Amino acid sequence: MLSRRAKLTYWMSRYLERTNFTSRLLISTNELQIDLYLNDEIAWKPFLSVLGLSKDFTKVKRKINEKNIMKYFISDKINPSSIISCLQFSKENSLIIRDRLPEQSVIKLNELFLSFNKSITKNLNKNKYLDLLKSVIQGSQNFMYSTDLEMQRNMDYQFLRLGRFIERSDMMVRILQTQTLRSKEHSKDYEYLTLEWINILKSISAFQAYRQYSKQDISISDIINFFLKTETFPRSVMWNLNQIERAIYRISKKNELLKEIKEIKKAVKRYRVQIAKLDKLLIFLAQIIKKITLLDEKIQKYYFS
Amino acid sequence: MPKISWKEYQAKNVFDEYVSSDQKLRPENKKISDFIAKYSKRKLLNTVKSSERAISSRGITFRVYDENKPLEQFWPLDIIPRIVQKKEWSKISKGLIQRLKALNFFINDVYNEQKIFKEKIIPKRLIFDSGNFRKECVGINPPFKVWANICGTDLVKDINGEFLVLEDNLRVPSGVSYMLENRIVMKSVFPEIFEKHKISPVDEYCSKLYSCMKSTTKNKNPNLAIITPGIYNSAYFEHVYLAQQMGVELVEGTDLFVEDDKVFMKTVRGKEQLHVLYRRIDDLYLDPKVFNKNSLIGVPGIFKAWKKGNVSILNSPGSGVADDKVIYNFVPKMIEFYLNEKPLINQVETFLCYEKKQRDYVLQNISKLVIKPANESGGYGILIGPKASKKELENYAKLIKKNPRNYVAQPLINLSTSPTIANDHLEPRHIDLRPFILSGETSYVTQGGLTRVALKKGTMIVNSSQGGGSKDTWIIND
Repeated sequence: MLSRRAKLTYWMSRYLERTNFTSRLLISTNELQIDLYLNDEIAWKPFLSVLGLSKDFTKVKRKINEKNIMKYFISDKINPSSIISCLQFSKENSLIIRDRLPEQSVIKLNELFLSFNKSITKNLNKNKYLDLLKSVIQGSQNFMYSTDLEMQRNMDYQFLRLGRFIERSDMMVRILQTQTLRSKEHSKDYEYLTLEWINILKSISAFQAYRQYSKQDISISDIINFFLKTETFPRSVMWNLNQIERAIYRISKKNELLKEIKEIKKAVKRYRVQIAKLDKLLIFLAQIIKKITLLDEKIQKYYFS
Repeated sequence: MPKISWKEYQAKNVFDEYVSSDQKLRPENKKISDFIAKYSKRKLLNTVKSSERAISSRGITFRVYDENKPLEQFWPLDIIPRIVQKKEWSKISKGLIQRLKALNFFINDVYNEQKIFKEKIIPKRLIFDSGNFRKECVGINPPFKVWANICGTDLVKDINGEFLVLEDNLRVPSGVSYMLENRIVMKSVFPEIFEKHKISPVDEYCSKLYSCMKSTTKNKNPNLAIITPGIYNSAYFEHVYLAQQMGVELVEGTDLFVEDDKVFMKTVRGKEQLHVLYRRIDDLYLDPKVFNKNSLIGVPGIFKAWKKGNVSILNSPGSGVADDKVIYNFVPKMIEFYLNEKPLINQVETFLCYEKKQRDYVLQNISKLVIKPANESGGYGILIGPKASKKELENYAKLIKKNPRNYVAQPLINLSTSPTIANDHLEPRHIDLRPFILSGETSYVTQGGLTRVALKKGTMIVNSSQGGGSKDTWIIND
């Protein structure tokens, strides 16, 4: 497989996965704000900070509020992490490598981009943009579904998976960071903390799976463990790390990369969640993000250069 | 809602594909014209919308440059098909194969024995003055002595309805993917016609191209690729399309390198040898070591690898020497010289400005003629005398006097017309046809080709880069 094509496939997949997660996070934070009467700062500040966009955002928009955040993350083409930017990057990559993708996948991605791009030119009310975000989740899943059904299990497929799982594990850790930061903002007697964590589970359609896994009263440390460690749920950090390991193994059995991934897995497995020590949790999550970034850099170095 | 009426359709002083000079529907196309007449205007417009939706969701685009800024545009397809009878097409196919065969004999002769010059059929200096002659190719013999494996020949119909060759595109002819996509879109919007009529399928082109590429190497398990200048090229859609349909790699210059006069691809598992390359870049940009030194899209050393027979390149570098509007004039003579046959398809009368007598005629009659630069493509640099201003004519006359070798002139052919949708009714628009011919171990001609249509009323420029559209071409055997 051409190195250049591997890179384009990997990033196409990452960008598309990012649109899925960003949409989910925007919907869930919005719901959280409605259900729990959270003020704008508590609802959205952690979100910006975890995505590393606090500075950029305040540069462009003055006030942190739902309207500005939505615009910034949905339709702002200056924001490289906005859904429109990610969809555009993903679609452009898919057009360059369309010779290797199933025809229907390219068509689905192209249609998703075209309809999204058209919708954002209109003045959107709240219901409309929530529908739009849901359509992004659905559209990106349609793309994945058609690649799963129609692609040969060749190198192109492995790079598609690699991109998807690196992005997903990164985003999962960031979701945990967001809620941990938000938890820190609340006073000690805040009564809805558990509800906020449940909302996070719901945002990634994981509540049902969590209940089946836990078989206990709902506890925050249990939820965090589920996010991090369960090997049977396709959005948990550990499950994604396993998939990354498998994809790398099928691409080239590159020992250095496999060693790297094993170390991340070991760190996740060993970590003991102590809900009273949120600072420690934040440090741990930052370390995992750093390790995933390092792994991504090595993937680029070994396969794409 | 009123129906589409052929009575409103007027095509005068021209050969129209659907209507004869006495304004009656042509009997051979009647089944299709009757079918169209059953459509209400609203239904027709809805069908147009469906075709546009299909084109947009399939991402069928092409790129044009507006003041050097790239603009991605959706492919313009007019849904009224162009019809050619199978019997007529069989004759044309034979003529196209004959023509490409002679052209390949000619190119091989130019770079080897040069018999045609020795016999004084063509003046030698014309070749050495040609911008497309590559002296580096002298002495090379590509597989089967075929230099131009892929050819797109432009055909037009004159006032009598006779197909004439307008030009041979032997360098990097494009358009075949649009021919194939047009058919997919048409099948989705008119499924009932395809069920009822014997319309020749077009989709075997890619498998024929694959066989043609593979036939040029002796390696039993070869790696094949298409080289593209990249996403900003106007034909990138086509490069991707062909790679996809053939399951071969689509590479850019930076994906390849040469080692020990062999060409390799950079892959995630290291280097892998490449055996056959279909180039979609001009030969001048192919190898900066041999041709244009500033080329960033080529592969240094690939020419030597080709010369040694370690990689096949289609079309061979240097094959553009026959893609020259001055050389075009000599093709009927080539056919007689190399094949000892009479040309099966006629071509448009051409005046060569490098010859004094002909040049004088051209300069005296410039306002009646079409003047073309010898080495341009895409419809650029053409002067249509009857439509030009006095100043344009004067400027062009100066250009001809300055470099007569670079210009040819042809009488203005009143291109045939075909009904085309204009708002909610049909109007005649001028068309041409580009079939694609493959030559390797065997030869192949597409069933029909890409019909291009001048969408602006009265104009004859059909190039998509200059406001042209397209039609699906139906070879019918009813």
